[in-house]
Amino acid sequence: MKTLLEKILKVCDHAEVYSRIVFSTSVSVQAGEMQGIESEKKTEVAIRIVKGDKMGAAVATSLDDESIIERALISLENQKSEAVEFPNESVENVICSSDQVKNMNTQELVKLTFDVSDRLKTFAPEITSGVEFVKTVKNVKMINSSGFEGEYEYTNIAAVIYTLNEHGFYSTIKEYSGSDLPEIKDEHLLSMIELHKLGNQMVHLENEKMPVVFSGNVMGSLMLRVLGGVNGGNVSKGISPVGEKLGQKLFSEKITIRDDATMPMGCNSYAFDDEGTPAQNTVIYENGVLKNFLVSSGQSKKLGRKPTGNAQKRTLFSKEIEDSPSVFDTNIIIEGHSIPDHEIIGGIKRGLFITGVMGAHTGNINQGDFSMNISSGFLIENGKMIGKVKGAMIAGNIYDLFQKVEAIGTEKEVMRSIFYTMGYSPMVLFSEANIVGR
Amino acid sequence: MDTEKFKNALLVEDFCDLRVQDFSFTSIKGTKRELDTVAIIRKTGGNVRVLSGGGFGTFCFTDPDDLKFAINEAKIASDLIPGKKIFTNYEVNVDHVSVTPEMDPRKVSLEDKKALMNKYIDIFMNYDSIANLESEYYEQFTDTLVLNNKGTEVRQEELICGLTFRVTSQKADLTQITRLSFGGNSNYADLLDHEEEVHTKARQTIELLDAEPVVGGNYDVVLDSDVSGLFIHEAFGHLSESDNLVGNISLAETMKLGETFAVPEFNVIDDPTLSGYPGSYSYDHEGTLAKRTYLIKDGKLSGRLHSLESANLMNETPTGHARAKNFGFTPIVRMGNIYIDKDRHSIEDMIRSIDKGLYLFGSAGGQTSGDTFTFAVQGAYKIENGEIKGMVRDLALTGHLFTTLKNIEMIGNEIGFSKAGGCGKGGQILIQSGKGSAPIKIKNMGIGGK
Repeated sequence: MKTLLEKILKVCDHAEVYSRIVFSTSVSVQAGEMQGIESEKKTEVAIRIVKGDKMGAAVATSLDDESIIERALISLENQKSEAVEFPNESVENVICSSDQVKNMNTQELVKLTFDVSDRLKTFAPEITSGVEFVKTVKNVKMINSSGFEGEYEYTNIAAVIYTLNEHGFYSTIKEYSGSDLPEIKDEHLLSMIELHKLGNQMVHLENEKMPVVFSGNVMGSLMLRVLGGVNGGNVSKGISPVGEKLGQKLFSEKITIRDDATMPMGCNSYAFDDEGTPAQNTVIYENGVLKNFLVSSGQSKKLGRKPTGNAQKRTLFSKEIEDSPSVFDTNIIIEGHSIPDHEIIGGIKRGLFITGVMGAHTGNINQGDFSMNISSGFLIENGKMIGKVKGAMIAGNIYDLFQKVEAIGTEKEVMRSIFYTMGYSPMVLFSEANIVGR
Repeated sequence: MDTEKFKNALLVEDFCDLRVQDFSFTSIKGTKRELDTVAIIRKTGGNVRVLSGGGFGTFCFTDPDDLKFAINEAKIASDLIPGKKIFTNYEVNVDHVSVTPEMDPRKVSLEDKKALMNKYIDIFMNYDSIANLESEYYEQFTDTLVLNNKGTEVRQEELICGLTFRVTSQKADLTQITRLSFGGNSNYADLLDHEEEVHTKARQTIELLDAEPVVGGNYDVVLDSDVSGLFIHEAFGHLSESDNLVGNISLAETMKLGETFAVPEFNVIDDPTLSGYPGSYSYDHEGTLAKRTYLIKDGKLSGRLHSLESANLMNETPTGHARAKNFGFTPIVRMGNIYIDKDRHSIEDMIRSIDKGLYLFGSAGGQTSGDTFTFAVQGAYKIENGEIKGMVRDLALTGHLFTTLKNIEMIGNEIGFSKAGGCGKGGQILIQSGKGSAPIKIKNMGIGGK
């Protein structure tokens, strides 16, 4: 890396070299049969260069590919990207790697996958189910001309367990993700089976307003919109609806939202972001009050705020390396007015428990709008789930909805943001939402 | 590419294939009037698959020195999968496919590309009510070699370029978003001379600010070609991808060939061999020749899209639809250019047949989960007593596939294809995925508003 940095510095004033080696293996079983095993060992390299007041960037798949320098120069000459100062701050250790996961071989991963599949089958032999495990190990290194030299190791195990209905379509899904092996409890599997069986009792809703509980996993679809508002890129471009509202109470006081890259063993924890800014724990909304934006070093000058360590070389739909870093979530943590899950459900006279949505990626996300199909939702009457909702949608705007947060549950689930996981949330009760029924 | 070296590395026994690829991607991105990012990405890598056990072991690598290691790992993985699968149904193809566009985007300078973008951007941004504009020029070129130990040796270039705009209008707190795309093929000339369409889209986006929000409920609807294309892609196309049926007996039963899905006038085809659309290609990423495939013929389920694996497991013919985003991914079954074939009705006939309904225009993304689907549209016109009236906004549709297909009452007499590709599946966003349709009329469609 140092050799490449030296070569780059011959043609520009300042530079940064980022490189990572990603090893991953994924194993999947459906209906008790193993589908396939996919692995990768990938090197990804990205550089950024500064010359005068301009900046350019490029990526490659090898540290030996010197065309990266020429491409970064073309980028520098053609784009209007203001130069940033590359940081050189001391980085503290963040626990984001597990030796157990790192040393696990494919055979052990296969066994683990079959074990979970067998457990589910023991509980409910009549239900068709599937299990997928993905193991990732990443070695990340970064150096820059300001003197920064950083390195960390990251491991992750992501698990998806699902059941299929009688027509072969997804019925229930449960996900796990973290640096270490997940604890897949019997009660999780039993709860999936209970919801699966409720799928046999279809209920229809009218156009109505009712209390709604989002499962922790599905909270990701709403958090995508919360993050659109506090993304430093959107704030600096003047397209965030909350860009001028720091310090204002925008949500119910019952909710606090943090972004914590330092979380030990979190699904997206790291020691430093892809610009070399140390990982941080940033409170975004505290008891409903907007406290912070998530800011990259490029945006920090314009916004007059410190970088929060959220710059990542990826996009919303891809984790392959990108040349320019953008602001993304790390581990979003939702907490607040906490009530045990069974009391939340038990306290609802008539309402909806939503465990799956479609269309999270459509609509005006940055403005907070959503209009999603409820692909998995259960009608609650007098504190009990009585059937699965068919053909209903939920629509609104998060800046209305989040004023109606009534309670936050206790059992945390990993949140999903379209293709990827984005932190952890328990179930969240909103006092009222618009449901479009038949 | 050192083909001989790669060939020699393949296993002799069992099934083993290798895909090596040089991948380049150029993009110019802008926000409002600024072109803020120019990226020229180059990546190289390979992907090996071995079928010696009960399923594929695959391994992706970026370091050429890892080739042997990758093959070995893929073999170990396949052997770990209980059972023994053997392919008997495959093509052996040897070919070299080059791209020869009328106007090659790789020969157009970055300066000219930026100037073209700026011309369109200025038109949009000169309208006061256009509050935000996200623009992108993209150009993807891949040079891919697919080899297997049965004798296939297909080297194929693929090139696609296009321009996309995401346009936001604003009045007080209300915003509306529309999209506009040009290109979606290898010919740069298709991106030129669209000024009038840009004006029209800008005006439409602004007019949506004065539209009424739709009242959620069930409507008789006419879908323009763009929305019909999205409908057939999301609602039905994904279910035709046979890798979903492998190991899922219930779904295979649901998708039994010969079942009546729609009226006899309804035909759905996937055709990668059409030239000039996002999903046009000669060979898939397993080296199988792409085939025009009837999915629904005369209203009956008549075929499906296959990879080597799905075709062999289901004892059907490989259709050449196994594709990967790039070397970093395993080929999975993807649509090429899916479309609803034309019938006999004019748009006017369809509108005249509706007393109270909606004419939906412009797709805005969708998703499917089994037999239910949802998608957003850019806007709609109200239809009252057979006539087009004012616009409505904030529409999302949802429905049950099999009910909706049976509710299709009329099919238009002209097919239109979307200029923008793009489809996500299994963590792979594939820009080379085309869709089109004749406009269609569907009765009793669920429309969600806010």
